[in-house]
Amino acid sequence: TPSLLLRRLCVRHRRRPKPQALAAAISNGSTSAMAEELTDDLLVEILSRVPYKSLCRLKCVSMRWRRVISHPDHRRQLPRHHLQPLAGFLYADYRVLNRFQIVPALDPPPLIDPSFSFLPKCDDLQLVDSCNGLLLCRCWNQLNEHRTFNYVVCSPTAKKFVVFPDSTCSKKVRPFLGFDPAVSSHFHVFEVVEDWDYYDCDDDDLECDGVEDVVGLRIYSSETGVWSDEIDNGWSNRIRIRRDQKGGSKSVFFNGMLHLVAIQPVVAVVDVEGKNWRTIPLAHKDGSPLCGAHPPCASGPEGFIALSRGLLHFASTDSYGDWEISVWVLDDYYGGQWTLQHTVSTMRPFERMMRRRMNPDDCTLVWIEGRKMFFMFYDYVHCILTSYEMDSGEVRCLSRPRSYCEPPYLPYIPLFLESLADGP
Amino acid sequence: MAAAAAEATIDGGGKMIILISADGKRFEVTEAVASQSQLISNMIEDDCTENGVRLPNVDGDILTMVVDYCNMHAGDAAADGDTTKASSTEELKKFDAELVQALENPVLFKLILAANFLNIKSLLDMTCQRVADMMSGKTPEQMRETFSIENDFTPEEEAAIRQENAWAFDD
Repeated sequence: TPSLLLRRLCVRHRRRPKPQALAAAISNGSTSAMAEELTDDLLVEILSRVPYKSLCRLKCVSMRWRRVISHPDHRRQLPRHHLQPLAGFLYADYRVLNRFQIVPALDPPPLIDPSFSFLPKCDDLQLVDSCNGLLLCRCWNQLNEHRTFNYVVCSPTAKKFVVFPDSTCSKKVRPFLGFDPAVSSHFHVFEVVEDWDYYDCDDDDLECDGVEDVVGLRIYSSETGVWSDEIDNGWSNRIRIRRDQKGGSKSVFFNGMLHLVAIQPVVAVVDVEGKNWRTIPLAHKDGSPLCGAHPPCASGPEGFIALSRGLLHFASTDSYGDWEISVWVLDDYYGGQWTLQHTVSTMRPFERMMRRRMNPDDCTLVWIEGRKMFFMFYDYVHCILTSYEMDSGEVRCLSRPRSYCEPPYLPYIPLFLESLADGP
Repeated sequence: MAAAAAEATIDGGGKMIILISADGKRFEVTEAVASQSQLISNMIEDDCTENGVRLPNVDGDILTMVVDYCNMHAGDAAADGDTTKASSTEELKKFDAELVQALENPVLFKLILAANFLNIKSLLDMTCQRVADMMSGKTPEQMRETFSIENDFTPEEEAAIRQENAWAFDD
């Protein structure tokens, strides 16, 4: 019967020999090169459990190991990348052309090469967007002579990059980067095309304020290496994507979809092929839709969305002059149901810090990670990054004030990866 | 161990199976214990365990460890829903941890080969994880030494690969 069997097994537990003794007795045998006797499949079975950084070192062990690690058949099983927590925010040091600094969120601060010297030469390199550890830049050569530039997508950590040339500079186009290393090593660049009247806005001034209706979309896939034709806007009639003054663009890429905050007020969602279009209404409070953060939490109305713990988050103030910021979580992605997660009077937690250190003209929510919010304070010369714990209300300054630190600030996540755009 | 396993024949009621190692050692285990090996489980289904199961790839020393492991874990499976399970789970964890810590190559690799051949997933997971843990953070030189692997790169080739993966060598 089962109970008898059990009892017998329990007895055996108490009498079992020590494994150490067993192992010691056996390992006195030959010390032949057993690792070499493993089949490729077994070697992959083991290597799939090694962190990515170690895996890259192990390529140097022997020819066979390098072949096994680099073989296309094994790519699905082996780690392909190594994504770390938010390390800080990148910004362009406006005193020196092509020099980039970081406002660290970690101690010790991450090291980056401030001139991005691993990239091909650019007369003017412009940070445009960042997504899960990759950066999207515009690289201009022969300034003011040609109206074309090269897009560069790169990982400053892994010092890997892809250049895709000859984009025509246009005011009408707003680029966003889509990359999710957990799903694919391929990235996409989305160019949202807006309905600008040419005379409204001179093409020389790429930083023109204001937004217009979205008319279409072009998508570059690193898998095919080509741009799609322009696809007509598949959202409702009028969608205007919010222009964010501080973060360049607060787009979120996950589930293979790009998420953008629109004025309408919705989150506008599109997939990497431009086939599936969707809008998710933003959270409502007291019967009215929330639109995003207003001053003093932002210099102008801004939509803030972020991905934290796999869920889309949205932060908003009620209206101009309201100092309260509320954080909403999209619990039901397909049903479009937002839940209020936290409310904070934005200035109160930071009052003491500000009295002591600086008198900020501006404060922007720049990141949400778990139960922590990150705010950047900026006074037109200095910036300072602070974190705020939703549960305890604790505020921490993450670094001393930085000088010559102007927005946009792009989230910097160290990403180690083997290669970019390396075929299907 | 073989003797301990043989005791189980006396009053179980469960059918017994004889496993025979490469060097002719015989192990008598219950079907429940043996079925953790997907290979043997399939053989039981196909009714071809009558004359004992010959395992020409597995030495007696290694099979001793495998049988010991399966005995422990069959207890785990059988105790489902039983009140004694909590302590038994604790004990199992301890057993696994001790077993894995005590393993050194080449025994570790032999055990991986056996777990793979017998198709015992939990044992394969555990032993592969142990090797992976031993690899993490090691330099290629330490790796070759630990696992007796011959470096067949030319110095130029090795320098080139190191260059390609330079970031992985920063600490």
